[in-house]
Amino acid sequence: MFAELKTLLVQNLKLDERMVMPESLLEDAGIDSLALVELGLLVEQHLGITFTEEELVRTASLTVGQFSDLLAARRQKLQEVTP
Amino acid sequence: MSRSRAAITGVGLLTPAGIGTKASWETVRNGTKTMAAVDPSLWQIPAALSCRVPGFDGEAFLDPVLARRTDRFTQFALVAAREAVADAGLDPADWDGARVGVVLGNTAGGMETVEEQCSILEKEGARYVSPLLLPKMLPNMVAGQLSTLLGATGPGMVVATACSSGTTAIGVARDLLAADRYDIVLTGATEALVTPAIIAGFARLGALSHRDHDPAGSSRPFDRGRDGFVCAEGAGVLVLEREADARARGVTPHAFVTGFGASSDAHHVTRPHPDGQGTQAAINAALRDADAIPEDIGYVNAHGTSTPVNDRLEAALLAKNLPHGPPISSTKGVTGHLLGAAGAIEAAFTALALREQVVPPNVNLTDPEPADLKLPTFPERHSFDLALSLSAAFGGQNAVLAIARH
Repeated sequence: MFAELKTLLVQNLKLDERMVMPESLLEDAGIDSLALVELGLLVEQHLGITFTEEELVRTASLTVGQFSDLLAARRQKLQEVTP
Repeated sequence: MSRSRAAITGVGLLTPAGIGTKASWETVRNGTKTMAAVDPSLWQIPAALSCRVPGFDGEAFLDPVLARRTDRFTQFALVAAREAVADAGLDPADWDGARVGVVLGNTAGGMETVEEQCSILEKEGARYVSPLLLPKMLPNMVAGQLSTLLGATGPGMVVATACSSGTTAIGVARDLLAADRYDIVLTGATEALVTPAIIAGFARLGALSHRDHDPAGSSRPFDRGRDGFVCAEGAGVLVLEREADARARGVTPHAFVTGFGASSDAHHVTRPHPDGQGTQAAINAALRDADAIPEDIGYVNAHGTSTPVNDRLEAALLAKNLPHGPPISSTKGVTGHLLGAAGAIEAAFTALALREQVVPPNVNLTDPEPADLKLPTFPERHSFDLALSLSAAFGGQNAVLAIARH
């Protein structure tokens, strides 16, 4: 999942690859409040994972790795309910 | 001596005539080619021509994140401003940002972004509209982004007077410099309105040339065969300072803004006043401001859009005002019409013409309609100290700059 997330961050949002590390805070990687909304849409369109606005706001303080883990958990949940 | 001269110490240009001041100016000065071409991005519009900045890609000139978060009109201005600041020999790391300001002209902001997002709204729904819509399209965002890029924290603004925006912005910047609001002001204008809806709108007004069978000959100011303008894009940024400050830094200014005049036709939304009274008032005001008389004028960079109405009225007005017959040219024959940015790039061309003592030619002028004007068709060596740069606009807002060699 980290690799897929990194692709979205680097190729779609043009963030500096060197800043996109698992331990980097999303904000330090370049995800400000505007980019977070864009990232929410990208995740929906490319990975099929949907966040509400409230959920998305709560991810702002995560690291890239934590966000990646959250995506993995959401995907797992989706797969469980969609046989 | 004018009451309030401003030294032009830096010039940055990004125009259909070239990327960078040198390339743009040399193409315009030599008048060797015209930049209009059939534009495939405007496929919905019959006979749609444009003058694009050749090979421009924001990501190649700017930080990729900044590029994707800015509309094309802002990207143009950022690149041109960086060149202007370097040309002035200034380093933003050294300046007192609170004394540096931004006064740029623009017509309608980021319409490319607006049209793209309108399409997404219609096809996909509101949820898919980009959060960057407003940060990219707001007209004032170009001043905001430029102040951020260069640490210019003095007053920043965008003025909108349609196709005279660039001229108005430079005049306002000069006035604010004279009022001691700034020590350094980055001024000029930017425009990126070669978009399907905007071009369709101009087409419906009957303002555009239809010469798609002869793109190179489509923009032909003052020629009897003209049939409309060719929409263009780009930016021009000037650095203005007080002359004493420039001299203290050991910088020789390119030229000086010595007069600014503006007026409103109060007549019609798109048609100029038939007796030219608004442009006349702006010329008079600019000359008064520069403490000059008509006979002092050694060159005019005309608005000269290549539309039948504008060029006829402007030619008559210039013939009446300048019976001593200085050379007159419209550089739009090369660049097309940059709308709000036209006045900015033309003020820059006028300053460079004064510095080099050469008049840029009228291109595509094979059958001049006005018989009583001196309209050079080749670059002409010329000794002159004062020039006018004229702009007019939808909305009837006329603006004129007087630019002096010394």
